[in-house]
Order: sequence, then structure tokens, then C-alpha cells
Amino acid sequence: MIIVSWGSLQILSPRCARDVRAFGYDPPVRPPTADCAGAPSGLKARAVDDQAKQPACNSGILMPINVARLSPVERQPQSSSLPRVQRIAAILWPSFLLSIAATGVFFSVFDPYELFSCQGEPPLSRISAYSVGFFLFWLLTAGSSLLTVYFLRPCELVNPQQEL
Amino acid sequence: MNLEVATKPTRSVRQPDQVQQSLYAKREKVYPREVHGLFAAMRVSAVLVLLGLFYGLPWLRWNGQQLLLFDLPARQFHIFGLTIFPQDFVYLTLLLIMAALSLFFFTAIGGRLWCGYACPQTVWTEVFMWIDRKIEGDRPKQMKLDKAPWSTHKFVVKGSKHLIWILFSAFTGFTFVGYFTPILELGQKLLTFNLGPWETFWVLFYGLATYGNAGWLREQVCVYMCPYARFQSAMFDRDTLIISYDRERGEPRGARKRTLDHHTAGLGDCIDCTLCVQVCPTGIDIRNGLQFQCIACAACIDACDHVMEKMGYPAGLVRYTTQNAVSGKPTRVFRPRIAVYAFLLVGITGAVVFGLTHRVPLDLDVIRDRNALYRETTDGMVENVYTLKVINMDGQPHRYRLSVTGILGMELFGAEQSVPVNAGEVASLPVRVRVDPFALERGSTAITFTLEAEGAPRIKTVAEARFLGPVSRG
Repeated sequence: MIIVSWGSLQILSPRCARDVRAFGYDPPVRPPTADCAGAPSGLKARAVDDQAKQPACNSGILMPINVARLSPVERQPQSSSLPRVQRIAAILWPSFLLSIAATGVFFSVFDPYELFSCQGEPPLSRISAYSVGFFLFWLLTAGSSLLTVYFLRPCELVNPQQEL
Repeated sequence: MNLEVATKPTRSVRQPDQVQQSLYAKREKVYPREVHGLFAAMRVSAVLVLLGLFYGLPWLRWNGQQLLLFDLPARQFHIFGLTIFPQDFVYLTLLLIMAALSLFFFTAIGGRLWCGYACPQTVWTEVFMWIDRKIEGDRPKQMKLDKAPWSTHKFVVKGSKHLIWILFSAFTGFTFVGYFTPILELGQKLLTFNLGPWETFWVLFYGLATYGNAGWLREQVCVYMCPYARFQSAMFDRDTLIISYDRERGEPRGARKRTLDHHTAGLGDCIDCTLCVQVCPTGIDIRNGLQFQCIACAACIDACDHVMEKMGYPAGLVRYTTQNAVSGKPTRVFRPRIAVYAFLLVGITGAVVFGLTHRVPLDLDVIRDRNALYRETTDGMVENVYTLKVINMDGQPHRYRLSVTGILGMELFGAEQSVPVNAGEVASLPVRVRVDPFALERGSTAITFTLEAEGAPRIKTVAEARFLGPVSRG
């Protein structure tokens, strides 16, 4: 749990946001295109010369964009590339769901009483064993989600280039 | 898709898309305006029925047994008189698959009916918003209170709101735990302050989840956490029921006098009152087209119909429709997708019903003695020791008779009498099997235990085991 919390702090910390600004990373704010299902509509269209060369839709995929081409509004400091609540949810929520499933499957096959029976008196009641098992599974799956979120950082942030 | 064309910004209302999509904007709190109408009434009835079921079901009893109890400490699920054991896990899996298929089926036909009327997030958020309105007042009052500086009045109002949220959440947590451990005992323990540590923990955990999700996160759960909202497009087609704004009829939107003949003035039917945005619990503008944030609660339909009525225009500027209907094509209800979902659903339901009605309510597990592989008795025989777990999954007690086959002349000790096991209980039966070593051809021989209920030959089960002995001396 300590490792996961520490890791979360690293990923969710403002330091990460500073990196984003320093290395000219920009989230995929793009003008809506007619053929891009799910594109944000109602956004102010941006005047970009080679707009047509950009991929039609990259919603959800993080892409570096040349900062020099952006309007002053878009060069404003950003707190993060994704809303913080979305990043926290992306770590804790899928792992929570999967750990419920894993706990269910695991304890329907293994009865905690029988697991501990070779040690004589079981050290934990069934409810305690289920609960502890659930949190261990959650720790495991949250660790995996944490690494996923960590590795989703764009390469530009890992391998910094000079500011444009 | 013609429904997704961007429209000009709305006056005096924040642009919900910008909040959602401009990734560095802080989340703006949504203050849904109260709405009345046909769909609001349907949603309130759904909320009352579903919450009534949730809070009421654990208190119902049947034959001295809680009607619905997922008794985790005893490893038995009691579902409407049926007792399910971990050995029957396949049925629970199939039930979950049935639930998922029903969701697909109803989504393909009716769109996000689940989200708008039945999802726990919607149902509990609806209750929490009702508490908001009762204590803080309607939307303008809530916004004013949030903007106002902290004062005694604000502190009292906010404090009492949170107190009621917390009490309601705690009761929800208690009810939830009551599905997993007998609720009458749980209530008695609570009243005498004797709740176990984990029971307390899970009551608080679920209570906190309710408080956080329905009180604070609200639409963010649908937007960021709900997997269904993301993959719904896989179940949607042009014949799926959606909530849509009629652009052809509504545009160009604009304010006007009621007496004005807006058609000659070049205006559409939308008076741009923004009520559809104000009532939206996820804070989107339905006039911007189909959006994944839309939970199809139909609040905007009720709001708009009301306005249309006041203006003397026909209702249905925002309405339940299909993409085919919007583009003037006929809508088909029966289509291959529906047939496939229906076929799978009926097939799996049939399999579950057949399985549950033809299930043998008896299970036998054989566990070999862990201490010795085998032992030789003083008269030269070879003996193996087993512990048998006899699980009576029937609703009534039975006596069972045990026999063993597999090796010529084998003898069974410890099960000379028939074994009584009460309904839903597990009996542990240590037995010894004795064999003449000359009858053994291998070091390990398969044997079969057969267990049969007295007076009910249908209730019969077998379990395989290994008999270990010295390598054949013959």
C-alpha cells in the first residue's frame, strides 16, 4: 500500500505538471472534424496551417504538438494532461472491479478454513480472510494500473528536448 | 452523423463541452434544475421501486431464512429459497452473463435505459439531489449559497445537509452488509454496539462509497468511471432509441416574443432558454448532438416539452427518437443484432433453469490424509485414510449411504451407518479403506466413492480418489 501511495503521489504530483509545461507537451485539444466521431464539438476552431495533415481523430491519445503554433490561450499553464480525478479513477477503479472478481473466483475455489487447516486453528475468521484477500488483490491490481498510468506518459516527457 | 454537428455557443450558460474536453479546466459543479413531467415521474417511480427493493429485501424472510442472503461467513448463498454453494459457482457466472446480455439487449432496443432509470449511480444521486433541494433550495439558491462567503447560516445549512447525507449513506452501508451477513443479527449487534471489526469496516466502506459517489462525484462517475458509457457505441445502431434535439426544427435558435411568428422572422422552434442544459445532471447541451456523457435521463425532454407548451409550439423538439427517424428513414425494431442478443439470452436462461432444476443437491469431496501415504495393518493389509466432505445442498435433511469400488475385495470402515446431514450443512466423515496388497497391481489405483441418499435414489453422486500402496508383490 505504501508503494502504491508513493507511486500515486509521484504520478499525480504537480511536478509532473511542471514537466508537461517545460517540455512543450500539449494535450489533444483539436478542432472538431466532421468525420471524427466523439470529437469535442463546440470548441473554438484553431487556425493551424497544416490542419489537414493531422490525423483525423486522436481523442484520448496523447500527442505532442508544436507549442509555437498554438495561440496564447492554448499556451497557458496546464495543471495536468488529464483531469486528476480521471487519473485517480483510472488507477483505483478498474483495479477495484477486477479485485472483486478475483476475490470472488479465488474464494469460491479455496475456503480460507481449509487453507489454514494444516496450521491447526485458523488465525483469521472467514470474513477477515475474505477482506484481507480482497485488499491484497486490490493492491496487486492497483499496482498494475499505476504502472499503466505511469507508462502512458508520453515519450517527450521521459526524454526531454529543448523548449521550442 | 448529422446529430453531431457543432452549434454556436449558448448564451449565458457555460459550454459543457469545453469543461469536459478542455483538459486543463477545473470541473464545474453541476446544479441540475428540478424538472417535472412524464419522464421525471417515471424516474422517480423507478427510484422508489429500486430503493424499496434494496432497503426492503434483506428484511424479508422465507421458511425462517433470510430470503436473499449471500452468506459469506457460511459460504452459502440463499436466493429466494434456493441455496447455492461455491460448487455451484457456474450458475452465478451464468447469471452475471445473463445480466450482461440483458443490458446489451435492452440497450440495443431502448438506448441507455439502464443509465437513465436503473443505475445505482443515477438512483442514489437522485436521492442526494432531492436532499440538496429540500435543504439548500432549488438551483439558483444552491448556486447563491455556494458563492456566498462562509457564515453561520451557510455553515448550518451545509452541515445539516452533510449530516443527512452521512446518515443516509451509513444506513445504505448497513443494508449492503446485511446482504452478506444475516441482517437481523447485524441489527442486534449494531444496537448493542457489538459489531465485528470487519462488519464495521464494510458498513463504513460502502457508506463512504455512497457518500462520495452520489454526494460528491455524481456525473464524474458516469464520465470517468463507467465502462458502459464508453462501449455503448458497440451496442448502438441507427435504430436504437436515443434522446435527440431536432436540429431541422429548432435552428436557427434564438429568443423571441411569444406573439412573434418566428417562421417568418427566420427563427426555428428553439427559443434558446437553456433549460435543457440547466436540468441536465451531467451538464451537457443535448443540442450539440449525441454525447457519451448523456445518460438518457430525459430531463431535457420534460423541460423542453414544458417550454414548447408555454410557447404554443408542438412538443418533441427534444425527444426520444432514432437516428433513422431523424433522417426520415423507417425505424426497425427487429434486426439481426436484436435476434442474436435475444437468442443468446434465451439460450443461457434456458440452460440455467434446466441446470438448477436438474441439479443434484449433493456434493462429495474426498481429501486424502496428508500425513501418511498408506499404512500396513498388523494382519498384513494396506490401509488408506480419507476425509470425506458431504455437502447437503437440498432444502431438507437427508441420510446418506457411502460405498466404494475400484479394487477387488476392498473394505470400508467408518461409514457402516448411514450419515445424517442437515439441510445446507457440510459433514466431515473420516473413513479408512483397507485392501489386500496382493489385489494391488500398481502403486496408485483409482477408486470411486459413491454416496446415495436413503429414500431418494435421484440424489446420488460419485467422487474419484487414489488408493496408494506398495508396488505389487504378486
